[in-house]
Amino acid sequence: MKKIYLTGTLLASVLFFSCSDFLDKTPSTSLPVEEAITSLTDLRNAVNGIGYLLSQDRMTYSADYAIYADLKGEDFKALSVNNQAGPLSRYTITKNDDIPYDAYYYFYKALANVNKALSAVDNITVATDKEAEFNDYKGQLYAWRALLHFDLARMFCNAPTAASDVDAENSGIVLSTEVYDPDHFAARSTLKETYTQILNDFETALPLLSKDINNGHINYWAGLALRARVYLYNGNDALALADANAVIANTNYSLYTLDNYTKVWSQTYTSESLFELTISTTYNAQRNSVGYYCMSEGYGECAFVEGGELLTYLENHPKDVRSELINDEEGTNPGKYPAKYPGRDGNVYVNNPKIIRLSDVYLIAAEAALKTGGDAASYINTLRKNRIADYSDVNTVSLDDILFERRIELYAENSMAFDYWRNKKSITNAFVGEVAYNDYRTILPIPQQEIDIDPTVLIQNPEY
Amino acid sequence: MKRKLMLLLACLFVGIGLVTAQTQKVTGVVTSEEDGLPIVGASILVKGTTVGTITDVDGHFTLSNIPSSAKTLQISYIGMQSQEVAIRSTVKVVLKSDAQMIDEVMVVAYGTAKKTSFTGSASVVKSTEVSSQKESLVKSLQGKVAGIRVGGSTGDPGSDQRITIRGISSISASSQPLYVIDGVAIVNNDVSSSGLKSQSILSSINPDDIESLTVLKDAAAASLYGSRAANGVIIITTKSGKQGKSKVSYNMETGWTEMAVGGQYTPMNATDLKEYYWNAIKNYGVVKGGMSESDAAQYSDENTPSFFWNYDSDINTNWKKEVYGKGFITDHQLAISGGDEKTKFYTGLGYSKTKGLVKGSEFERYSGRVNVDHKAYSWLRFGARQMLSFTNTKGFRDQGDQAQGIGTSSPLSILFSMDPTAVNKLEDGSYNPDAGLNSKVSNPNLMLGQSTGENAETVSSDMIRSISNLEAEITLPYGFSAKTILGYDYINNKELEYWAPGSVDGESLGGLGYRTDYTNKTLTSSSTLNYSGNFGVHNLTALVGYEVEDRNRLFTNMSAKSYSTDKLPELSNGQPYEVGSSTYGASIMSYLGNINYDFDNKYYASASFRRDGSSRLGKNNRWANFWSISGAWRISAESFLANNPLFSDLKLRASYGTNGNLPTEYYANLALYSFSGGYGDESAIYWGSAGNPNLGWEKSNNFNIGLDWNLYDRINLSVEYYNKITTDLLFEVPTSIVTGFSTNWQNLGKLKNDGIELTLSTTNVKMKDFVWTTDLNLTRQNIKIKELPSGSDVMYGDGNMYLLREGESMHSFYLPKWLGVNSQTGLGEFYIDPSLKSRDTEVNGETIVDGNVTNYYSKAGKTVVGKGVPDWMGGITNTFKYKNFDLSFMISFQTGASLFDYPGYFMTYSDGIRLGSFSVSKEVAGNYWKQAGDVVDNPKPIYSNPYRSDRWSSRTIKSTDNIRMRNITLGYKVPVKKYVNNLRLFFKATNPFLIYCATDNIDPDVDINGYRQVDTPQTKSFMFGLNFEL
Repeated sequence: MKKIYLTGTLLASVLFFSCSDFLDKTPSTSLPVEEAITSLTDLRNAVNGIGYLLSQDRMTYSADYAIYADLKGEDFKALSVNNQAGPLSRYTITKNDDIPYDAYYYFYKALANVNKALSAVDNITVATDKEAEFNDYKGQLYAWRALLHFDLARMFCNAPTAASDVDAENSGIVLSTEVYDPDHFAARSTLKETYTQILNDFETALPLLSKDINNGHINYWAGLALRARVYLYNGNDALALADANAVIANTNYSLYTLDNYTKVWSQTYTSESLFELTISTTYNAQRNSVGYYCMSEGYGECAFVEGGELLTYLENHPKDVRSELINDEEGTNPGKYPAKYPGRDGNVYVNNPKIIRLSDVYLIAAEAALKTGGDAASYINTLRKNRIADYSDVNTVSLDDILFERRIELYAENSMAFDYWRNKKSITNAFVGEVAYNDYRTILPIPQQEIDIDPTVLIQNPEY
Repeated sequence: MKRKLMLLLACLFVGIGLVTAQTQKVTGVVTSEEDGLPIVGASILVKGTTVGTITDVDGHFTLSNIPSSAKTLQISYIGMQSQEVAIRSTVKVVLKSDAQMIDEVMVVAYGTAKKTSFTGSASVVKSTEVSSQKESLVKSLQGKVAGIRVGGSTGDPGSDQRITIRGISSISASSQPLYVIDGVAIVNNDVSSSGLKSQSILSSINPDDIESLTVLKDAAAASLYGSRAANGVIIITTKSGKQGKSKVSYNMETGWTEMAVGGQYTPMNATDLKEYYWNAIKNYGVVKGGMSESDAAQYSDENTPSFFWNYDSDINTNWKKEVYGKGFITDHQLAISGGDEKTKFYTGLGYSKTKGLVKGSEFERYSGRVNVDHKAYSWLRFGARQMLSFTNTKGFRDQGDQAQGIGTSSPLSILFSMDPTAVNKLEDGSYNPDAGLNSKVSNPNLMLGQSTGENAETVSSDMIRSISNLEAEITLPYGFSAKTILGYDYINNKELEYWAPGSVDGESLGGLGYRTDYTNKTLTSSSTLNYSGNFGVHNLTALVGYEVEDRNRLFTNMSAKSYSTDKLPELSNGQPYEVGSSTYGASIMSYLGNINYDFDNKYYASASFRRDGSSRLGKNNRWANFWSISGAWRISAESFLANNPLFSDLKLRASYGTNGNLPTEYYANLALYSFSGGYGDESAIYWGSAGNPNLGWEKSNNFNIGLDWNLYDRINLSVEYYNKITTDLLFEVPTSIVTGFSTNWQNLGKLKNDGIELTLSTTNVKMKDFVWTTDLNLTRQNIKIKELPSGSDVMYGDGNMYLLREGESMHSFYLPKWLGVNSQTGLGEFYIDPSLKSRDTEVNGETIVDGNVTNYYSKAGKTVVGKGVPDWMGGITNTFKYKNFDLSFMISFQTGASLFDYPGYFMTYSDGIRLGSFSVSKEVAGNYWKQAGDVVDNPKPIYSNPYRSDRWSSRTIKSTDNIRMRNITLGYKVPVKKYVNNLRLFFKATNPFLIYCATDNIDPDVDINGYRQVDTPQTKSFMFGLNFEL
C-alpha cells in the first residue's frame, strides 16, 4: 500500500505543476505595447518619454549635442585628449565612430517613440473637458517629430540655403513618420522632402499646442520659434520673420537683462526660455553631460580658443555682461571655459539645455529682416541694450554683425558653425583651420553600422 | 553502485528456499590491494544462496552453514571491484579498487549507463582531475577532453570563463553548455551579477566535492535534456559515502601566482618613450603644422618636455612591478565519508583563497556539502544533498562584456598611463601623486587595492549559493521503479561598487556607492518511471518522465552619492541617489522518454524523445519536440573476434538527433513599453522592445559516428566524427535604427559544426615499480556559416569587427588589410579594395601603380583577416609512477586561431594618437619609422595622427598558434603504514611556460571569440600541497 501512496504522491506532484499558465511570464517593469498607452496619463508619460530618451546619453540635447556646432566652429576647442566630444573639435570623426552612431541612434529612437505614441492616440477615449489637454500632447508629439528631423538634418545634411541642390537624391535624411516593422529599411529623402516633412509637422502641431507656459515641454510659442529657425535654414526669410515677430510680441517671455544675465544659467525655466529640457539629478547624461565637458576637472573638451575672435571680444568688452561668463580654470585641463553650465544642486551634470530661447528669436528676426530688407538693427539694439551697459543704438547691421552677435549671445549653445555654413561662410577651426561651408566635414557621416544593413539602399555622405 | 545493490538484493530474493541439508564452513580475511589494510564491513555471500556475512574490524570473517552444493563466494565492498573465489576452508581475498569501474559505469542523462552499452558520445573527467583546479571546475577541462575549448577572459580571481563543446552552435544565443548537478540543471550563464566585474557563478561549486563529471556531446547522449542541450551538457555528480570504514581526508595546497606570459604589457623605458614622444611631436609639426624638419625638431624640443614629469632627468621608473605583483593561493579541504548498509554519508568542507596579481583583487570561498543516502526499506531509498557556499570576490571593474573602451582606473590603463620619468616615491617617502602622463591617474600605489581613501575604486561581491537536492526512489514490481528529484538552487549575490569622492570616476558625483542585490531561485522537479528487464539475450531499459523548472529572479539596486568621507564606503555616508527593483521569471515544462535495447551485449539500439515548452519564446512557437536515435555494434563480441587480444574491445556506434537552444533574454518574444523611465519629477514611458511573437527554438541536428577500440587491454582508442547543423538560429538580426531598435531577435540562418575527435589512452610501461601512461586528445573542427538572412553579410561586435558571411568561419575578423609601413614615407598602408589583392589598380587598361593603397584608415576597405576559432586543438598528458613518486605533465596545443589584440590598440599600435594619455609598449621601441629606408613594423608616430593607422586592421590580428605546458605535478607518497591510509606531498605548476607561441609577448589564451581583453591577464601558479587520508 505504501508504494501505491508514494507513487500517487509522485503523480500528484506531476499534475500539480501542469497548470496551463505556467509558461506565461511577464516582466515587472514593462507592459505589452497594446496595454501601454490607454489613458491620458499614459499619453502624457509617453510624451515625457521623448524627453527622457533625449537627455540620458551621448549626443543628445543635454550631452555632446549641446555644444556640437561650437566644437565644430571656431570659438571653442577640446583641451584634453579624453576623446569624448573631442573628435568633433579635432575633425577626426569617421563613419565607424561613436559620435555619428549615437546621434543617429538616439534621435531615431526618439522618433520611433513619437510615432509609436501617435499610433496609440486614437485608442484613448477623451472626455470633452480633456480635449485640449489631449490635443496638446498630440501637438507636442508632432512638434517633437519636426524638431528631431530638423536636428538630424542639421547633423547629417547641409542646410538648404547652402546646399548645391535640394532636390539631389539622398541629400536629405531618412524620414521616420510611422511605426515600422523590424525589417523596414528606407533610403534617404531629398533635402527638400526632409524640410517639407519638418514644416508639415509644425503645421500640424501648432494648432494643437497649448499657448500656456509648459515647463520642459514644447508649447505653441516654442513651436513657433523653432519653426522660425527652420524657415531661416530653409531660406524662407519672410516666414521666419513672421514667426519670430509673433513670438517676440508674446508677453509671457522677456529678454534677460543686464542684472540677471549672469544668474539665469543656474536657474530653470527663466524668462527667455521657450523650450528647455528638464534635466534632474536622476535623469542626466552623467559624464557626457554638457557641464562636464565645460570644465577643467571634467572632460575639459569645450574651452574658449585663446586668442580667438570671440574670446578677444569678450575680454575687451567688460561692459558686455556676456563677458562675465568665462571661467578661468586651473586643474587637470587648465583653460577658459564657458560658464553657461554650472550645474544645479551642486551637480555639474544637471543643466537644462535651452533648445530655443528668446535671444535666438531676436537674432533670427534680425537676420530674416536683413535678408528681406527690413529693420534688422532694431532687434540687435533691443538685445544689446539688455547686454551691454551704456549701449548706444546702431542704425544698421550687416550679416556679419548679426552672425557675430549670435556668437556672443549663443556661444556654447550649439549655433556657431551652423550659422556660418548655412550662410555659405567658412569657419576657422583651432585644429584644422578653415572649413568652408561646402567642405564634406561640415556634416557627419551616416553610421557605417546602419549602412552595412544594405549599402545599396542607404547612401553615405560624400567623401566618408 | 545502485545496480550492484539491486543485484545483491535480487540474489537474496532468488536465493530463498535453496537451503540444503549438508553444510560446510569457511574462514578468511579480506584486504585492500591498494594499501594492504584489512577491509571492514566487506560483504561475503555464498553464490546462489542467501547465506552471507560481513567482515569484522580486522577484515576477518567466518561463514558456516554453507550448502555443500555451493562452489563460489562473492565478495563485494563499495568502492572495490567485486570478486568471486572458489570455496575453500580458508580464503584470502585481496580486493582491487574500482577506480576502473568508474569508467565502466558512467553517469548519463537521467541515470547511469554501462560504458560498454552506451551508444552516445560522452567523456568522463574524474574527481582527481576536477579537483586539481581549485577555483572553478571549468579550468580543469582545459586540454583534457576532446572537443572542449576553454576560453579565458580575465585572469582576475573568480572571473568567468566560457567554454565550448564541439564548436559554436549559436550566434546570438548562449553557446554555453547546460550544467546538471546530481540530476538537477543549475543556473550558470544567467546574469546573477551586475556585470561590472566578470564573475563565475560556477566558482561557487567546490571542485573537491565532485566525484565525476560527464560531458555529453552528441544527440544520443544529450537529447534527453532536449531544450537546452544544443551546446552539450556537463553532468556533475557529487561525492557520496561508501559502505564500510569511515574515511577522513584532508588536502591542502598553497603557492604563488604570476602573470603567465611575463613579457606582455611592458611599457617603454624612459629614454625610449621620451624619444618616441619627441618624434611624435616633431612629426606633428611637419604633418599638421607644415613646418620644415628643423623647425619641427625645435618645436618638439620646446613642447615635448611638458608631457613629462621630469624630462631632463635619468629617472626610469619600472611601473609594471607597481601594478602587477605576485598573487597567492591557499586551499584547504576536509572530507569525511562513510556509511553502512542502510545509510551512507559524505560531508566536505572547503576553504579556498586566491589573491590576484593586482593589489586588491581577491577570491575567497567557504563551502560545505552534506550528501546522505538512506535505504528506508528494501524498496525505498532517499537521498538528500545539500551544498552551501559563500564566495567573496574583490577587485575592480573590468571589460568582461568586451565593450569598447578601457577604464581610466583599470590596472592596465593605469600602468600605461604612468610616466617613467616620474619617481614612484617622493623624498619624504610618500607616493608621488602626479606620476601619470594622464593627469587623472596619480600613482598605482595610491589607486589600486584601496577599499577606502581618496582614490578608492572597488567592486566587491558577496555571494551565497545553496543547492538542495532531495530524491526518492521506489522499487516497484516487474522491473519498474519510480524516482523523483526536487532541486532548489538559491543564489544571492550582493555587490558593492564604491568610488571615493576624489577618485577618477567618483569625482564628478562627490563619490558614489552602488549596491546591488540579486536573488535567483530555481525550483526544479523531475519524476521518472523506469523499467529494466532481461529476457534471455534481450535487455531492455526504458524511462518516461516529466520535468518542470521555474526560475525567479529579484534584482534590487540602490546608490548614494556626495559622500561625506572617503573612509566609509557604505551608502549611509552619502546622499540618497537612485533606487530600483525588478523581477524576472522564466519557466520550462518538459515531457521525456527514453528506451534502450541490447541484444546479447552485442547490438544496441536507443531512442529518446523530449517535448519542451518555454516561457521565453513567442506564444506561437513555444513548444517543440526533440529526439534522437542511436545504435552500436560491439564487434569484439562477435565470435570471429572473440579472444583476439588485439580487439579486447571494439565498438562502432552512431547517432542522430535534435537539440534545442533558448534565448538568453527573458522576454525577447514580447513587444514592450518600459515604465521605468522618468523626466524631471514626472514619469516617462518608452518603447522598450520590439519583440517577436514568432520567436521559436534554435534547433541543432546532430550526427555522430564513433569507434571505440581497446587493444591488448592497454590501449584505448576512440575516434569520432560529428556533424552538427544548427537551424533557425536565434539571431539578433541588425535592424535599421529608424525602426527604433538596432537589433531584433529572429530565427534565421544556419550554422554548421563538424569535426573529428581522437582520444587515445595507452599504458606504455607497466612494471612492478614503474608505470607510464599517456592520454592524448586531438580535435579538428570547422565552424562555418551556412545560411544567413537573405544571404547577405552581417557584421557585429565592437565596431562591427566580426563578420558573418556564408561559407566563412564563425568569429571571422573583418577589418582592413594592413600592408605594413612604407619605408620611404614612414606611413602605414592599407588596401583600398582588399578584394583586388594588389597594390595597383587598372583604369581603362592602364595600370596605376599603388592605386589601391591608402595611408588613410578611413579609406581602407574591409576583408576577412583571420578567425577567432582554432582548426586543431588538443592535449597530451603523460603520467609516470615510480615506487612512491608520481609525475605528470600536460601539454595543450592549438592552431588556426587568431586573436584581436584590443590592448595593443591602446598600447602598441597607437602611432602617436595617444600622446598625453598613454605610454607605448616596449616592442615599439626601435621599431618605428624615423627616416627614409627604415624597414620597421610601426609607422612614424604623429601626435593627433590624421591617418588613424592605429585603428583596427589586420595589424591588430595576431596568431595564437601555440603549444603550452599546462600542468606539471610531482608527488611523493610518504610510506607510512600505521594509522594513516595515505600521505602524499606534491608540487604542482599550472601554465608554467609556453613551449611555442606564434606571437611574442601575448598570452594566446583569450575568450572563445578571439578577443583579447584589456583586463588582467591569466596567471601561472606554483603550488605545494599534501593529501592526507585517515
